[in-house]
Amino acid sequence: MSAQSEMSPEPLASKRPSAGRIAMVGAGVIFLAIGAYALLSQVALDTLPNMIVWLAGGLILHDVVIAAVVAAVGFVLGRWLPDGVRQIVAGGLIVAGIIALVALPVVIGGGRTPSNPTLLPLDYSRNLLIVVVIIGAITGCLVAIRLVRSRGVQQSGSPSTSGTD
Amino acid sequence: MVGLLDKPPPILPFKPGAFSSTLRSDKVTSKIGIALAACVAICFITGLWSHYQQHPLDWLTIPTAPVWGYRLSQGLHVATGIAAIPLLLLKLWSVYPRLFEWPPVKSAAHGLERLFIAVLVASMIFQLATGLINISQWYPWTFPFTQTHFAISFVIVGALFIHLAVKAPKIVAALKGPKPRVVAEPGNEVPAEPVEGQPQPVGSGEGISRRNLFIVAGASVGAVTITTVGQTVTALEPVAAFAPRVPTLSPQGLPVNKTAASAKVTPALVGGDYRLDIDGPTPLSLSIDDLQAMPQTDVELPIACVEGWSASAMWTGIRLADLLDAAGIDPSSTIQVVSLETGGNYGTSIVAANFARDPLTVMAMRIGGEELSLDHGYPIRLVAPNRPGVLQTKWIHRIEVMA
Repeated sequence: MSAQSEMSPEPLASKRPSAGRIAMVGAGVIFLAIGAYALLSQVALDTLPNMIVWLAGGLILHDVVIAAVVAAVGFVLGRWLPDGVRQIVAGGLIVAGIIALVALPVVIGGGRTPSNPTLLPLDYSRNLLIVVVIIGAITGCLVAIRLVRSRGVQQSGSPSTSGTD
Repeated sequence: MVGLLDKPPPILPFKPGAFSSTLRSDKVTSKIGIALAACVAICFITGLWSHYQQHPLDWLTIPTAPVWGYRLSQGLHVATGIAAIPLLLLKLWSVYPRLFEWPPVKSAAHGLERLFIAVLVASMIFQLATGLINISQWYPWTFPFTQTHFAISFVIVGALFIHLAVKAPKIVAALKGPKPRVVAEPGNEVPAEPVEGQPQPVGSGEGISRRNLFIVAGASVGAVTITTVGQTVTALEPVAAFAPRVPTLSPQGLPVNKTAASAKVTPALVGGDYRLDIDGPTPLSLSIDDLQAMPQTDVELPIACVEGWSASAMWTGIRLADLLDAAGIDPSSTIQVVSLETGGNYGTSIVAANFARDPLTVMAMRIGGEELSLDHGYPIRLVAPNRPGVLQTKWIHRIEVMA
């Protein structure tokens, strides 16, 4: 095993690709061509700039904003919370953050129209608050259990590696 | 210049060791990736199925059974798309340090691979974000949603095929391997040869952490599913905190997509002058009284919308087959129903012969025993089994023979 190849994994394996992998690339190219054709033939060209804004915008929003926020929160948690507790709090924040993101369109309610009360009939901001409080309460309970247990474990000398079971 | 490219820039994400989480590994990436690929496959197949129900192919006969077919396939399409959101975010997190690998492009093949990954990631984020926004009937863009959603789905599947072909050896090795291969620090990678049954290093805590990551992934998928899927799974309606539609909160137990006002159907249009005209060898022109005097049938059928909500209802109306027979229309004819609706794409819908003649297909006048409200299609609407909601045409005033 060469250390060099381990240090810099090649995108295409150094081994000769199998027939199955070549067929997959071929299928991929065909699907991409169908997608491009469908896009150019069925979507008015003057709407393409707006679509590109959405395509690139989503990528940038994730890679620059969301990822940076996650990294920053992870850094803060690493600084301020002890090992076992940090994992639980991080888990709670991930679930709450994801659910807030998924709830965002209905919370904003951009589709709401006074003429159709069957559309977006709930108070989604209130619901998001309730769900986040529930996730916070579950996280709090798990942290409490963890702290009680680690106190027990500390006395037997291994504080940081026990699980939540 | 060459000297500049030799070393990564001295800013945070490019620094060696900038990403310290030992949770990131090829194994984690592969496992989440497989779950995500399964979601893509389900969404693609159910999406195509929905597309071809609305844009029929000559050689593809859509069956009328099971009656809940479209309810299941489209409910699955939307629920799987929502479940894919946490999986995509965790997948991207697991490979995020690779965004800053140095040098950014090592060879033409490597550059091409990164380009395809950019296309895949941008398309996935785009598809899930616009799909999620679309189910709340919000369109903050200028491109046509349906056609774009269709085209981008092929781009995703194509880019995913190429991505999987390129990564196949790595995925296989990662899934066989007994412990994680750390992405951020290549020096820590374990030998490619897995040792069967090799125990976890004592005290590393790695297995526990990874298990916790999968618990978080499962909790996220469960949380987004349970708070939205109630729009189609009636039993979960009470916890559907973020469902854009709530059937039991709707008039006559059924949400409305197109209101009479937005379809420009006024009470005057469905008053005393209203007639249902049927073009056939024996043309018919039936008033509301005539229609009510015909034999009525009860059927229990769901309305299942492309946006992923659905609700079952008890409909009362005239079998479409009886109306077509009365007009002398050939049983093998495809017919078209025409709505009073003006504007929009769903003012007419084609009813293939097998749907037109199915004993469950009715021209409904009542729902749950009550006369249809104007928003639900008064005086008469089509309700057929295994059919997208947008094709369950409301306010029908004309039936035409197509072929």
